[in-house]
Amino acid sequence: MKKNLKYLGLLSLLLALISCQKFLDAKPDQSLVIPSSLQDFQALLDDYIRVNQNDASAGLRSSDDYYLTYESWQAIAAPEDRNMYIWGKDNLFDKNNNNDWSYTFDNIQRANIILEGMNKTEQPEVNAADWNDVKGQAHFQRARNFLQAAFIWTQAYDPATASTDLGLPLRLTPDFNTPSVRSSVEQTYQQIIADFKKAAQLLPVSAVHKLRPGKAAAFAFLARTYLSMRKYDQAVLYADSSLQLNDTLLDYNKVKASASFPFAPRFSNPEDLFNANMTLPESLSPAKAKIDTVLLGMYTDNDLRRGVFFGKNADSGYRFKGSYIGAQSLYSGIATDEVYLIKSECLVRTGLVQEGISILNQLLLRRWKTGTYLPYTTTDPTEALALVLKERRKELLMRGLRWMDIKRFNKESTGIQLTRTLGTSSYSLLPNDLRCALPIPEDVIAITGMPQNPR
Amino acid sequence: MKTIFIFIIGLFVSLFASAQQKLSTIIYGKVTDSSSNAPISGATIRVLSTGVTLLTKADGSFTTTLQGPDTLVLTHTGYKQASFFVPARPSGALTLRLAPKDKTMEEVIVSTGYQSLPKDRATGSFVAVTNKRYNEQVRVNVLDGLEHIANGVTMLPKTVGGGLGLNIRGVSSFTYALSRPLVILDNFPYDGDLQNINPNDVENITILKDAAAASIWGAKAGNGVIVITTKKSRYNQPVQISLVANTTVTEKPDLFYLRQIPAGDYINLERALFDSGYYNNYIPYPEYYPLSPVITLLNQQKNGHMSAAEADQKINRLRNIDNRNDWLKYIYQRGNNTQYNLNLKGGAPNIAWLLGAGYNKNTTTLGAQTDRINLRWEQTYAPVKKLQLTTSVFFTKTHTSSGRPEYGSISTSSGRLPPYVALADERGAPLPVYTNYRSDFIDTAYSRYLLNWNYYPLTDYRNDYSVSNGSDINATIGGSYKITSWLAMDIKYRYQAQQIETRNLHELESYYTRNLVNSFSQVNRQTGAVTRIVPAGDILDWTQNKLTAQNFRSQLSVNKNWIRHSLNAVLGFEGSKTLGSGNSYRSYGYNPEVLTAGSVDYAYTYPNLLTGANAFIPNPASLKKTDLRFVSFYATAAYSYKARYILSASARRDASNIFGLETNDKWKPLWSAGAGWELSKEKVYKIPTLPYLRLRTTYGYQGNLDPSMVAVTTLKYLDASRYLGTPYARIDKFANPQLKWEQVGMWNTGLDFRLKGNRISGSIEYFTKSMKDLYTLVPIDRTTGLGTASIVKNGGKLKGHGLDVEINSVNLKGRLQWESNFILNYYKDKVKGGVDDANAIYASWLTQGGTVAGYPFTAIFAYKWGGLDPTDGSPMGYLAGVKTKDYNALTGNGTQFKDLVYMGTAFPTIYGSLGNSLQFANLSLDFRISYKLGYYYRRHSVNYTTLFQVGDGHADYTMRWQKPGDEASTIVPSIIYPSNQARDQFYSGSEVLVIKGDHIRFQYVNLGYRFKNLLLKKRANSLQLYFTASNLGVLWRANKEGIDPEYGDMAVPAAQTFSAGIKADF
Repeated sequence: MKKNLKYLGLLSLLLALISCQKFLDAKPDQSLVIPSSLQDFQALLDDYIRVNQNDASAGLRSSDDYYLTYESWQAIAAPEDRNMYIWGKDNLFDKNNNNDWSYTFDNIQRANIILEGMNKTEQPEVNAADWNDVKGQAHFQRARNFLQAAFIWTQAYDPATASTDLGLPLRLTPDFNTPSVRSSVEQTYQQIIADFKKAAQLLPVSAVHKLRPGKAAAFAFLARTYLSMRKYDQAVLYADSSLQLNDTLLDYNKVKASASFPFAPRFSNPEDLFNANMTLPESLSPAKAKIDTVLLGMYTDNDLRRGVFFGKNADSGYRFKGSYIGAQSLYSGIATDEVYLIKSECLVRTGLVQEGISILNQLLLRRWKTGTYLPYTTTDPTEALALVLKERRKELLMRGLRWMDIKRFNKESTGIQLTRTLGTSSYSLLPNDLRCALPIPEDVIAITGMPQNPR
Repeated sequence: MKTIFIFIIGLFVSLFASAQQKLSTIIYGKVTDSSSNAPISGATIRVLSTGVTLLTKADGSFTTTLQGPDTLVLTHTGYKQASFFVPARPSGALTLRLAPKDKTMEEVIVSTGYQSLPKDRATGSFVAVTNKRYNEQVRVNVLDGLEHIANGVTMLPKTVGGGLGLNIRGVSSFTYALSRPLVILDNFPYDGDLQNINPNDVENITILKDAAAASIWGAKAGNGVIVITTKKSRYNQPVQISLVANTTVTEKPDLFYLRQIPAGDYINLERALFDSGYYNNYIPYPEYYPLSPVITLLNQQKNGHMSAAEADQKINRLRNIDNRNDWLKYIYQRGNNTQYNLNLKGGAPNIAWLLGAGYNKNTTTLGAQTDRINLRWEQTYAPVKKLQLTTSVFFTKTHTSSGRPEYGSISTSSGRLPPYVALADERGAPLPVYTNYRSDFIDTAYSRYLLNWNYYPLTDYRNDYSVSNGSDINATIGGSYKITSWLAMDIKYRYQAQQIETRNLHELESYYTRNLVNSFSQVNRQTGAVTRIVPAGDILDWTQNKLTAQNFRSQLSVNKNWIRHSLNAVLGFEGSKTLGSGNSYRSYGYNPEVLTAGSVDYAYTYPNLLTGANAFIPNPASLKKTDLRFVSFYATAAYSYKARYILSASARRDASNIFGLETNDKWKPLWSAGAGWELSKEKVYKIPTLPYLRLRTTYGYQGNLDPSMVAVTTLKYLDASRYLGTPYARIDKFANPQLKWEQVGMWNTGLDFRLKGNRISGSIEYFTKSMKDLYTLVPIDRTTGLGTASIVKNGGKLKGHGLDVEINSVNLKGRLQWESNFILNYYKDKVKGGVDDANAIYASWLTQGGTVAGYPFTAIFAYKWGGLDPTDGSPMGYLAGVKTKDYNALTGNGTQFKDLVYMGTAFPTIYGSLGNSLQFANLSLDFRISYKLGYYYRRHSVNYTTLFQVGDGHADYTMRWQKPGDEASTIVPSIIYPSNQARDQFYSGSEVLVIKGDHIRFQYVNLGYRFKNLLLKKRANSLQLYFTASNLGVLWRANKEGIDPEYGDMAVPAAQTFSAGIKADF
């Protein structure tokens, strides 16, 4: 029996030796990591397929930059896509998660995970600049996505009603158990501004790559945000800050207009401050989406943009080929040309007409055939504003900005009414129509109980 | 549960206390045959306590002396060994009955992978598949056809959960991927590819169905366990040689089973779409969109390049084509499988050895080939009496090469290949088939500068193929030392290394390579100079996957018999470590002759020759590494009293390195307890017609785990960003701290019986399953940004109950022997709470699958059908009892749960088989039919949205509503343009498309002839010839559509196979 006890003793020793914790502490999958290091956070932000190439297109699809023929519209497979084109009351977004709402909030969640992770982790002393950079990027992405969503799912900012108008659910922590509650438009914009300001403060002057934002991009977005709120005095300040860091313009005389995509390859355009593109639904494919004929008529012969932006379709009409992405994908980042236009518009609106027109001339000089451009000289505020807005219309099409502009202008009582004609039917969207704030996907409403935008 | 333990402990204490009195008594009696009551002479009687042995006399009588209560162990060749308990003072003569040993009565040994024990002494639910029954079918892979012969085992219908394969006693998880049984090869879980195991090495298979049987395998055994036991050798046996050779032919698949839109209808539809302007946006863009032959002709006609008559004539010629004929003529051929196997075994007094070698050559109907060589060596050596050393090595080598393209695998960039696109001309010469481009465009635009841009499906596979080489070593060494007569210690170590290397070569002549090279070419139209960004050479994709598993086990076993008691226990520890790694890379411009490769620039984008869109050169390189570890402690014990009462218990604790969980939470104890009672051994038991009756019951827990479930937010590093050069990452799992393993509790009660003369024997088992903490998908607000519509929680509860009945009968004895085996399984489950309210945000989503409390897990819900609208043929549904055509409301938030119709479950509730074995002299015939009843299947029909979009057409198209009055004879809605997805979705989910799944099929028949003692008489030898036919088809089905519910209407049922073989033993 003694011998037996010896064996038993040996066995239990063996058990104790092997059952050590270390054996079980190995990672089951080498590529799995709990996000905790700066490198992890940066890697999450570098997921360009989701962060930079998944932007919402609902605004552009609702706008009048393009039109569809009746045949093209009929041939669109998804009824939601057909519905969105005619400003339907509901069922505008894909029911299976592949929609602008989930794409946008996916990026907001990503930023929240990073910001929470960074708050939990102690900031290392050695690479403070990198740390700030990453944190700045997270704030930037959160703000950018909220802004994009605000343009689509809320009414335009109106100081009189902003504190009661329905805003976005401001999700600021990664905990998915927190219920989504709609804020006011005022709160939404305050959050966007706070995030962009934080980003502008933290981001480096020049980013490593155009897929990442730098200070100039953050200032540019602040300018865009204030512009959309019609706070022109603020917008002009940030546009100026952005241009001080980067005011490069591309001379379109150097662009090969005959190319399939004149701005190819991606990232080659020096005007590009932050590179991003929208998802490309069927209704925006170059074969289907034809450029509004009124808009086309606005380009004069010496305006190079006509050749650079548009290609003649084999059947009829013109397609857009001037995306700053340099491909079919439509640009939704921010570029210096927009900042020039914001600065110009705001200067004019705040009474500095000559300064504003001078800024506009700087831009247009690079858009006209060399030697043909005659600078504008008007001093009349109304005429100047009309000029700037006309050039804005011609420069920034197919970037998703038109929808924001329509909503903003209608708050200025400009009265832009949109009309679509399909076969014998005609659809209209009156200024400040309730439908200017698109319906939040129905399943989100069903599950959260958030109020739907009134129809 | 506490009370059960106290009860068990109390029982132990009282039983031991009563075993301590000694008195000398003379006992006498008679040993008789249990079926004929004839006396048995020459039977050996051993008195257990003293070891004294004696033989019975000619009249079967015996006399001996006992020192108190004792057990007599009786053995006799021709009879089954039996133990009889004799009380201290038996009254009068004892009559000890021995049951004759015949085929149906051979003592069945079941194996748990930790120990082997006679089935009669187990309390749990074990199914033993004997060697004879296993070999009634000819199989390539080791578990093929097991579902037809093993009680309680079925194959999940291919239409449920993607056809994940074998299933034991119903689904135990909401996650189909977690519903697979654990497979054990001899002693350890088999981590490699099951296709590597040679079926000819298998001696028998045990299936562990209930908790008492399976919980010893802990957290991996929630779906039951399949234990494969290989052939073994014994000490002291002459050399035996066994040879098997067989060949199997597989028929071509019945492609016409698929109900597809006829070419004529398809052409008419294309014409209608063309006239509606559907293609107007595509026609002007030859660089983006290919056009089908009919659209091309219509367009030529429209542009005035062709007369209407000529176009019509050309189109009409296509109407009679069905390219399935081409597939059957040129692509599919009869498949073949040939098997050779040799087994040698023998044993000396202290050594036993076995050598096996097998070769299997398989050619599929598509010409894909797999060669498999299996070698096996097993040796048991006893250097001293108490020590036994075992070594076992399995070695497998496989070589696989790909074949021709399967029907349906060739598609175009605008969807399915139209049915009229032929693969070959009248003389059989390969025809180019459009997939991505228009031939006229390619020809005119670039043909001068580029490689041929046509795709020939009939020959392309010759230049685009993959070859895999695999090897698998599974080696075990073990030592067993008998410390005392009743205590033994076992140590085992297993090492498995599996490696598979796949080389996929896209030769320059392949369409894949030509297309890539051309797309990336840059042509200078002035000079005609072509710059090749992708070198014009072969492309090699190389993938290697490795798996190494190491297992260590150390175990103490107790096997102690007292006079009245016996204890059989195992206590052990084991650990495992499974490492997986894989990597793949690609070489462009590969030259197999001189083994050189070109280089390409992965860092920059290049414009596509046709569209000008910039793209990277594809780079499918990847690396992965996984490391799964387990540590477990286990114990199992069975205690029997008077050889008629059995109590059993087992417990196990598992821990693993599943990422993120705190170590404390990793531990999960699982346990079971059981009891058995052999009623027929009781004195008061006097039912002569039923000489064997045994009751048993068990309760316990098994577990289920998903290694991908984590409690913290994790991210997964993807490849290096093409632009930034550094790796980028994506959130892989969101923090979900409450996650734990799933638990399956099972109560099993069984009754085993044998009728007099063993005419009928069998078992009836009733079980209830209670599954909790099941991973379930809870819908989540997409605003949370998880990028998913639902997240996993341990919220699911499922209750199931079922019946496993197996009856064996000997219908005829004598010259013609006829035996039957009948298996009946019944299983039903019901979802309990936790998921009812929110599983579907919209009740209407349940028509696409989902769970609701109070209904089976695989419940099928459907929209109530309101018929077709007589005015326009649109389908009508009901909302709150009112007929409606508001499809957005019907398929969206309008439909309430009460608007839906519950049709039934998609999982068979009754299933099983009936096997018959006939033997006349040397001729034997075995055949088996199987049945599945009490379930439903949702069939497919026309979906106009996918028909227009990707050309996915259904034969029901022909029966669509076309004019008022049609609604009386058809359920197929009218065609509308543009299509309405919600309308299609409503029809797809409506009750008219749900059909009964019940069917009976003829599974296999095996005819054998055995020549006995052909060789010298001195040794037993036999030669057996056999013919087998399998998958003989459906004998009866409840549906009228001709659908085989096992495969659904989107897949072709398995083709019939015919085998012939020879087996020699000498």
